[in-house]
Amino acid sequence: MLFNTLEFARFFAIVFAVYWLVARWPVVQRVVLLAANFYFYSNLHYSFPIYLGAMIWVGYLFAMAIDGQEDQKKRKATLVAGICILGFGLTYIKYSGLILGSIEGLSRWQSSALGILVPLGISYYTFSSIGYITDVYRKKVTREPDFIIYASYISFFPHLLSGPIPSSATILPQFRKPKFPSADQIEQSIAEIGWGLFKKMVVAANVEKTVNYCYAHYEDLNGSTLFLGVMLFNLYLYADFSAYSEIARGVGRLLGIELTQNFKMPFFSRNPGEFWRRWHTSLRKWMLDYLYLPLGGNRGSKFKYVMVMLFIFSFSGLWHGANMTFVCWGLLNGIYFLPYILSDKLTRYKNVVAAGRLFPTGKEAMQLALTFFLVTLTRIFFRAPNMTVVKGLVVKIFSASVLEAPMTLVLQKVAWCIPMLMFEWVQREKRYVLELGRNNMALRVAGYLVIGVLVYELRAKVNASEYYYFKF
Amino acid sequence: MKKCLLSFAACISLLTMGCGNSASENTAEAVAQKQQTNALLAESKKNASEIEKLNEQYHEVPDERMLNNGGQNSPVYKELQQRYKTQLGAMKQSVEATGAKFVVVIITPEVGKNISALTRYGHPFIKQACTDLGVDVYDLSPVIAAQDARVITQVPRDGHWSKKGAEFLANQLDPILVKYAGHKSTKTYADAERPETFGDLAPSYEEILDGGKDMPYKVTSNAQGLRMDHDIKFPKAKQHILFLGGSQFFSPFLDNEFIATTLLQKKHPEMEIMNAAMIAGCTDDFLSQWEEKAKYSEPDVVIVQTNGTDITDLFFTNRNHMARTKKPYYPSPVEEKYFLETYRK
Repeated sequence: MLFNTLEFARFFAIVFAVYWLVARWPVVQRVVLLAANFYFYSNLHYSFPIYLGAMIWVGYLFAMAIDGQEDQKKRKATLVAGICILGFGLTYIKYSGLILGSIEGLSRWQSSALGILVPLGISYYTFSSIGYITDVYRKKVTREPDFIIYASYISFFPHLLSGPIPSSATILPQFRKPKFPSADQIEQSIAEIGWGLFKKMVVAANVEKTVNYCYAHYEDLNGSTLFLGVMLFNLYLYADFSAYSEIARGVGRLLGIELTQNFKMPFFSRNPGEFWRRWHTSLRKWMLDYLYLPLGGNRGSKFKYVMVMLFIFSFSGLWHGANMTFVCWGLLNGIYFLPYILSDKLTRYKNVVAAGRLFPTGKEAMQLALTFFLVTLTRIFFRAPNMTVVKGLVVKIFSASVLEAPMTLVLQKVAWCIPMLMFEWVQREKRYVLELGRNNMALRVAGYLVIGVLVYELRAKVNASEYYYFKF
Repeated sequence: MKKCLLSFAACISLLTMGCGNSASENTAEAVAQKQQTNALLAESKKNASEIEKLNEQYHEVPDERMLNNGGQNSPVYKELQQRYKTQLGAMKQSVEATGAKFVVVIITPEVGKNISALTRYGHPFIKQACTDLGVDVYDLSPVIAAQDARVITQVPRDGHWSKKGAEFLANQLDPILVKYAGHKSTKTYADAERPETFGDLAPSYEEILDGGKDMPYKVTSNAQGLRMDHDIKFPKAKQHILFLGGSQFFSPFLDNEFIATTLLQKKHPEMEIMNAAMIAGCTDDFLSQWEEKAKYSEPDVVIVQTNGTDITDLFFTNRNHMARTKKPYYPSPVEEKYFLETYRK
């Protein structure tokens, strides 16, 4: 059940109505939400809820065990055991093919391992569970005694498949007493859902096949077409993934849960550090809280700092997939950080670029273009199925054929992304993209109607495809 | 103000990207055209509603299993064979009326010894029908069956031609083209008579498709809706060869430059190779396509691709689901009996 389908709209309409009708009975309301979550997940495959249920129980029981311990050593041992069990589940299901496949003589095991159906969203709820028990261990959050509340938090259908990865400190308490959204919140939800649908159904869906074509036919295409194809993938990935996150936020808010903002217009970043503060922020925060800081962060020597950063990015690559291409993608991102770490400029640019102005300065424009170019290069690794394709793409893109005329069709598809970028640029200082004139109701309604018409008229006439980030 | 203008420009650019020009001149000709269009729309709506009703009542489409347990001798298969032969005859007559040469080529991508019942029973019948009708027929299926499927097709992902397969097909078709190299048709059409397109693709179309299999490929059509990269010019200066057929000539999952007809065009610049093939077509579709538009391309030789599937595809439920004409097909008594016995017991 995808967000951009009528099936989901019907499902959500029923859940929304029932959920708030029974709001005066909190226990019933929680059961309704939990049932909706599991129904949503079982709709993808009947077996998925079994694994999700097991993960929820593991997280719940380990949190209870940690909370019940006074002895610090035992608490730590229990935490480590919990992380190992949750991590093992994820590793076995998602990575056994890579691990066993790389060891000679284990082909018999490999074949059985490869037969496992990987539940969609497994990485997300495993990370949520690990985050929660770690927070309980650190006493950052009080353990949630109500199993249904905890289970609803982990399995909450808006963030289940593609995040945002919830932070137990800020998101979990909201499940205890969700509040009916205010008029302003409802409007914000509608606006975010509308913009999300536009990005998914108009932008991402219209360019997806062209991206696939470029990567599949890299041997037949020239360097300029391939570079545009990789750039198009960069834009597609943003449109697709941020669309999911925005719809998730909109839907979550309508159910009284305010999810993390996962994307803060990352293409308007002046260096890679700023880009990563704006792209997939919930994963970044998870990495920061549960890996970067425990590993020492930027304390100690620069060499250690660099090593920690490279490790974090390699780990992030592996989180995306059991493939060398993802490891290289992570490492390349880490390497981008090196000059900024060495010159202590990594954490610059915390404000919005060209704040209060319509156009950036020449320097800012150059910085934006360079960051976009660097990120685009990483997408060669991110989308290629293997290193052979990576090599083929790199050789072509860095050959003289990059100066030839690109395929017109690919150029046209890039044009689909430009209105999205233009509009987001104009609105980059707002709380959300479709925030249009607070005191002008007519303008806002007109804006929503225009987006509705655009989505209907320009939606790609293809079957709804899955969101790209489901696979992670 | 600048912000508003920029946003407005973004919306306008989107709308112009997705919508075509709808402006039309308010002349008498335009009014007449509008009336004609309305009449066609009304008929099309009526047909669509009738097809919908038929599809609800007769939903299932029989496949190869129609030939199981002696099905090749069943009255319904005999009737479909007869229908096939009649259509082939009608096509021959219509093509030859223009002075063009009508040629049938049997092509199926089946490889190895385990050929399907559709081929086993269908191909001998097609060859016999062609002989009876006096049509030149070339059966390429045995030579295809001797190839390695992993080389000439895209198995396991899909059974249509690979690049190597398209080359192989072009090599098989080449001697046939050479054989009829001197043939000339006699019929010509005035420009005003010619329809907008000769093929079923949208004119000047360029898009990436993937057949729902994540196997992206680029389809390009010329201004006349044919799967080729250049437009046909009139009066013709070259011999025109028209390819009518299903997916074996259309070649899904390959870009235009790799398909057999493009390769043949490169080899024979003295000819105009025109590809009007369509995915999932059968003789019924080729006949209607020929009558409606393809004949106006003034071909000298018409090469029709067929195989055993084209016979069973003539079953009325298949037609109601798949036919390009979008007109209702009603069951014959034999078809209805077969349908009820097979699906409504």
